[in-house]
Amino acid sequence: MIIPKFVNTAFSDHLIGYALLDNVFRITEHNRNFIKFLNLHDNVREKQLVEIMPEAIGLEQILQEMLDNERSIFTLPQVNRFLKDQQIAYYNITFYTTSLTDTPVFVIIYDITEETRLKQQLTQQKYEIELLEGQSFLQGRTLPNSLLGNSEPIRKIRDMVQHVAQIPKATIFLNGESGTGKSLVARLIHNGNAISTRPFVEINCAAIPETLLEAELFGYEKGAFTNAFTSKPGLLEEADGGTLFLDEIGDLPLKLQVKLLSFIESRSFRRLGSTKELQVNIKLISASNRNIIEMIKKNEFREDLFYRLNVVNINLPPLRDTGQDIITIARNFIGMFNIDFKKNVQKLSANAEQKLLNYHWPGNVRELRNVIERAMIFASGSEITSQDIHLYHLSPNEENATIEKILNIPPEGIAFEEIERKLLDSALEMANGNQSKAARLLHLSRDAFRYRLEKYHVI
Amino acid sequence: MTIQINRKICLLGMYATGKTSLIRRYVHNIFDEKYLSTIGVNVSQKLLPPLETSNNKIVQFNFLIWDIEGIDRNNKLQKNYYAGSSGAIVVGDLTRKESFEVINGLLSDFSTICPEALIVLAGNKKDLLIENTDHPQRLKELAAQKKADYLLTSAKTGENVDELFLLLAHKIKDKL
Ligand SMILES: Nc1nc2c(ncn2[C@@H]2O[C@H](COP(=O)(O)OP(=O)(O)OP(=O)(O)O)[C@@H](O)[C@H]2O)c(=O)[nH]1
Ligand SMILES: [Mg+2]
Repeated sequence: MIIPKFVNTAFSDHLIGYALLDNVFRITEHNRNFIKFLNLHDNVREKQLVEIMPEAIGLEQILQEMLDNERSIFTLPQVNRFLKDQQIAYYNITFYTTSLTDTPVFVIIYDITEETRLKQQLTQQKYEIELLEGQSFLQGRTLPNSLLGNSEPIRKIRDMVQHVAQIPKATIFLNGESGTGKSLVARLIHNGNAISTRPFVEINCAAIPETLLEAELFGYEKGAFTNAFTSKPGLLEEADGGTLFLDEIGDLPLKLQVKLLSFIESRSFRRLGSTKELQVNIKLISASNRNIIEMIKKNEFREDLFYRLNVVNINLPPLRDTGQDIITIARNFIGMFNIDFKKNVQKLSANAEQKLLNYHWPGNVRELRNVIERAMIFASGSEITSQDIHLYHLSPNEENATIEKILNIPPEGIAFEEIERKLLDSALEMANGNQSKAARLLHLSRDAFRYRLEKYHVI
Repeated sequence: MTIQINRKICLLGMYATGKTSLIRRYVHNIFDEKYLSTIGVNVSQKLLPPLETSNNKIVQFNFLIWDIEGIDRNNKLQKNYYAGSSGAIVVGDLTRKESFEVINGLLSDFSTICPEALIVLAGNKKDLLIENTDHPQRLKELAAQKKADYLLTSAKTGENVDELFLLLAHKIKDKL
């Protein structure tokens, strides 16, 4: 025994398998983990390494270099082994030279299953998102049909999109309720008739804190602020030659409104911490679901900026105003989810269609998509019936009635703070975690909203 | 008399191009729509049918097929996977143009470590190919540039999968 017992014990405790190899790469000594990790059953002493570890086939030259002292270490990271339950175990396998004459090579197998499974999940998510984004990009190929519908307002938009797509430096403002497809239209304008290889850069002004937003947009030089350890180009530079899409522009803080205006006027800007003027060539598309005119009246949005942004105005109609388009779009989603869920739903029943047509769709196409997705999950046959369709919101009249109900205090009384906290939770949920949006749902300023979040430790 | 020879080959390519799926189709004749991205490397074996060499010997390869994670060129240790390979199948996804753009860099890393190895290119997911896309064209150009052969494959339908591995086997055999 070359490996002392205490090392042996320590290795076992730490999920390490090891073996010593002789001059012809036979195993001379190993611990139990070694055979366990390699899925072997009995003692493997005297066996050739390549007989029991297929990963070693092809490594002859590397191992020879180790014998010849030309190399002292060699690692195969994250080697996979399928376990009986089809789960994967992961091991790092490392070869070391020992400078012992009879056992010149030492192999360690280190079990890294736990952390690697976590890494696997993260990587998988990242790749899946990239694949999905790629697909929506691909869908741009079938353009301009991807803006579905035949109603007058939709046809008009398709024409506009076709038209402005041809103009490289156009400045376009999209307005429409949330869920009406502003981001899709921006992409269609960017792509024109074919998939564009020029950059399309999108940023949601409401999703990023003010301090970061400026650096994101304009970029910065090393040392421009405390954490600026390196220089970084901003989104304006990244979009050069292509399109910059500023979503929820109504949430752009006033200070940045000034900077953006100056950029639009001169088509040049400086990175934070830099004196160098940079010029870029971009198509600028901005969008908002808020009433900017109202904001201008309240001095929350600069009028001069708005006129610069609003050179071409495209107004996206709410779904409830597009009539039969609702059915066309719903059918399209059915086709899409048939593929995703491997189902074969052929149609909507007459009642189901009527139900969709009667609803007021506050969440627009996005909501329609969710409703159809849910219906598809529950639909059992080849038809979606009205029972399969669950609508989330009450009609405006019914909604008032419920507020009355909420505000009726039960006989046992109720804690005011509990209601407040519940409202914060619900608003955040409705706004998908976007605090500015959630604040607006409760008619609160961003600060007032944040104050309450902190008070109740909601975040 | 048949001579049996172990040969290591690698499958390389961007994530989700279908490396794992091609191997599973070839080795076990199965296909799964579900994507489970590979981390690290998974080695499978497959005994190929006997092949005749130019000097009338019969050889039979036992392929050790290294299924390597979607390439991360910053990972230095990843290159350790290549050591001792006789060949590589480089896989692109016919539905994703960008999966062909990484092939050049990938091959140059691989060839630095295995200059003698033989290369075959695969344009996978042929079943999803939309008429008139230019990706096969890109594959053709790459193949010409690298003086490598290529095949359009589908791990889903099995089209050209056996042929892909056999093509590489023949090239390795011709160099014996
Ligand atoms: N339609 C179709 N889908 C395929 C084909 N080959 C693979 N896929 C699918 O594509 C996805 C990715 O396949 P994988 O084989 O896991 O890809 P990979 O190259 O091993 O990916 P990484 O391990 O992440 O590098 C899976 O959902 C497969 O089902 C094919 O020929 N046709
Ligand atoms: Mg894989």
